[in-house]
Amino acid sequence: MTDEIAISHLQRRKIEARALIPFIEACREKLGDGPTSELVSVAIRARSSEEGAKWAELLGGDVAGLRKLAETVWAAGGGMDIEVLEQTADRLAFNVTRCRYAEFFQELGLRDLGVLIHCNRDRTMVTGFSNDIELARSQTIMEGGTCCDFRFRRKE
Amino acid sequence: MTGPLDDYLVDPTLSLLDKTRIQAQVLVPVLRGLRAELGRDKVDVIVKQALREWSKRLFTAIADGIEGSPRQKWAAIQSVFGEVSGREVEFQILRHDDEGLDIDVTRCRFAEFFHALDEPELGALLICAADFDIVAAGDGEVSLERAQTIMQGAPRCAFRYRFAPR
Repeated sequence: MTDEIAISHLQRRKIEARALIPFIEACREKLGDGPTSELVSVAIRARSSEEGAKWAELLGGDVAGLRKLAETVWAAGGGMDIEVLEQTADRLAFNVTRCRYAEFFQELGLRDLGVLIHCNRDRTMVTGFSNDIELARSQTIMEGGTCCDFRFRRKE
Repeated sequence: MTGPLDDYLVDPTLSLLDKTRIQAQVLVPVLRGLRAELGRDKVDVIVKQALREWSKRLFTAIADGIEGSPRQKWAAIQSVFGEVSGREVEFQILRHDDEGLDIDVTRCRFAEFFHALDEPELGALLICAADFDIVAAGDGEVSLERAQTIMQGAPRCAFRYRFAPR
């Protein structure tokens, strides 16, 4: 499967969600919330790690590449508003102050699903992006936070 | 966007094939992960039920938003869906009159994509099933028999629409 479809990241996530949501909701009904979340998380994270490797190849697998990813992919098409707080060779800190991905899931009344199939991807995306960089994030807008506090840093 | 399928298509600049590819790209790894844990049969029953109900609800809501008779609702949806799906297929119109419309699809890029993925059943759920949900908007004034599809492995899809007398 190729990913060479010219479309914003936000639109892609909305299109994916159209098909994923009914499937995940049916799984929850048949299998229960816990097992469904666990199984879906594993599959989503496997894919996001592959996506991370692809982004690193395209944008450079370092801190500067991560900033490009956030600003030119995640935020493209009005996907999110970002305030960069710090960028060095080893660190990148930014807050997402508005997230249209979260607004999309909020409108559907499905923020918990948004956490599962959207926010959940980021940590494993980073593992595919670089072996040397890790993400610390204490809150997201999808989870009800006032901002998403992305703190990337090179591992000690 | 102003057409009856705008919400379904999400992005008017995107082809239906690309939209379907995006959905398959995320669904297939999730499906395969679940199948590995729970068994193929169990997961495929859930996905079939989920995607059929989703598609039925979606096209019912679209039909409810269109003014006119059931036949007009069907025609309004079919004209747009036929246009966007028609870009991805080669077809022959064998009959088109007041009582019926017979179309044979002789090449289908949706089927080629899902066969290459080895997931034709998923393709049937995401694409082929929509034709029957659109016919449901015709509420008895339009019927469809389709004995075979390329997605199922046949050489052609044989669409046979019949229209009730006006």
